[in-house]
Amino acid sequence: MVKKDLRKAFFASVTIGILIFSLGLFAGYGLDLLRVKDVSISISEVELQTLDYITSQEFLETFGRDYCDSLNLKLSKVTPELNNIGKILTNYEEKNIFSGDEYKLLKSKYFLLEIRAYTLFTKLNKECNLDQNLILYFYDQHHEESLRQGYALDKVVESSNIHVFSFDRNFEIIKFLVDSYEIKRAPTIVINEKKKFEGFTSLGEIRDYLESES
Amino acid sequence: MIYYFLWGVSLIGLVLGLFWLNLLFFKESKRIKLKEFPYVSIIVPVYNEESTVGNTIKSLLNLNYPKNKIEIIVVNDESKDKTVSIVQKFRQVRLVNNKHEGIGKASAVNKGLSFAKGEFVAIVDADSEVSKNSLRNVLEYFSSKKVGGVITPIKVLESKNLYNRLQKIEYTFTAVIRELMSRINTLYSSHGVLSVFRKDIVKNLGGFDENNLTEDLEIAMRLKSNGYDIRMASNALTYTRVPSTFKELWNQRVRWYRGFLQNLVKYKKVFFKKKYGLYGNFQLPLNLFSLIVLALVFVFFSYEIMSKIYNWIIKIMVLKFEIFSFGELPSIKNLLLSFDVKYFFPLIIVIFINLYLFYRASKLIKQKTRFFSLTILAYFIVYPILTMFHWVTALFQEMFNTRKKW
Repeated sequence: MVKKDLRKAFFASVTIGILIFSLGLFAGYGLDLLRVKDVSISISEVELQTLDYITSQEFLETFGRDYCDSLNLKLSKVTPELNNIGKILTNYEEKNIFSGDEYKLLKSKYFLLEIRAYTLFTKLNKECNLDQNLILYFYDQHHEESLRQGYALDKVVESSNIHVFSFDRNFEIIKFLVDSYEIKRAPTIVINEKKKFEGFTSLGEIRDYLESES
Repeated sequence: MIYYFLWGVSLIGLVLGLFWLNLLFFKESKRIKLKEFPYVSIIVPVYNEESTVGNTIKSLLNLNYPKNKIEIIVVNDESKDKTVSIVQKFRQVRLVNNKHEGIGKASAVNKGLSFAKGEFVAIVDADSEVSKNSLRNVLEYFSSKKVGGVITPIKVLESKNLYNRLQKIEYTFTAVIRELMSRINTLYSSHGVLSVFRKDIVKNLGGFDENNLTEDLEIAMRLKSNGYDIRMASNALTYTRVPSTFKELWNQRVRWYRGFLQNLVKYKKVFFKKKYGLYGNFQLPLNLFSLIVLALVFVFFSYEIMSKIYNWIIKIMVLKFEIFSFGELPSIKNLLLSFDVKYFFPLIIVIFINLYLFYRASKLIKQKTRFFSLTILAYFIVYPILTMFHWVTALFQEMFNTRKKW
């Protein structure tokens, strides 16, 4: 009798357990969708900021107004936003259940936005003779040296006129960028289109180089 | 990969929690009405127990049981303090001296057993006390000749500090789990805070094992492996003092768990044998499985902690004195969205199941407990980690055959 009841109890527990577990999965999936939405909104905001920049530039150029200061201010606001999205994206991606493809798409979009911001910044630097330092950072995921480089660059970016654009070098969509800079290993950083550092570069080395540049 | 393992652990934890919850609806163990009172010999092994033995004896003398049907045998295991003189003050008590042998109290219990005249023999440690009706209630559970032993739920006597309070919660949980195990006849433990056995059975099986770290667990497992049942008398409340310091708790637990491992090996023949029923086919394999999971969780957490420390060291090496920065704090929205629901959802449900079991356990042993307190929080967060370390230490000591210490 006990054996029969016990079997019933066991199957009931397994069934309810699986149901609760599925509910957890379902809630996880719901949260996943919210995360994807959250990053998508942030990316759209940056897209809007970029569009705002491009439109303002076209307008100011066309009507012969001075645009250097105002555009520099606009663009300087974009890079911290981008860095923040990058961090959130990495954090969320680790928790995803069924949204791997969505995150891949979001990341591709994010990298393209970074390239656009980098291009606009480089252009503005040249046209307005600004002293903004631009660093391209190519990394591999789950790679120790890249992780260390990330720590150093997180510190570097705290200075006001330094902007870092980070890229997972294995993403197909940025292959043209990787080929163009001949990136062979991770981490690699390219500073102001002039100097390429391959392998881990210390905080001191980066700062020394930036100081020598200025 | 590791995360899938954690996921699996939370699912198993959930299913087991629900399973125990289900058992609450099972019938309680059978009881009989005592037509006459059998003769009971109560054995109290003592070793340097001057501060507590007096209260233990007083509680035994206060038992609601015919005085001519009871004998109290205090076996002194070469105490060096005032234990003997305190015991001698109680004229109703028989004091027997024992030459300490073996690694625990088993030789003293066996000595008491050789003097015992009762049909039943009760073991009560000198740091414990019994409630007035406990003995009567226990004897009602000897419903058939197959029942070889009956144990009691234990309440913690003092709650001076956090260690005591954590153990108080643990003992409450243990009471309900043992009650549920008793209902499905898989209970295989006994303790020194009033466990009662049929004397003849224990004697025929060779008495208590004097070279065992947990002789009370061993005798229970021997009874089970010889086809006898152990029951839990949930209405027979008993009380004990528990370790008050980290070191005391550590030593006690490592000894218990080493004893458990030894006895698991000693009775490995029981595993998956049809004749041992649910005990051999469900309960022991489940406990062994839980141990393996615990060890794997330990490895996982150690890995996680080590890699966090490693990352910190790397960060310090990279950033040197600039390690601390007042960077942007994550927003509440980001924190909420970062919540890893797939792991934590089942765990939260498990915690609620445990809280319910705890509520039922508190009712069972008539214990007033605050359900939402820091102690409960510590019990769910700190205590499992501590227990994990106890188990791992016990496992290592057994593997490397460290000297057995009581």
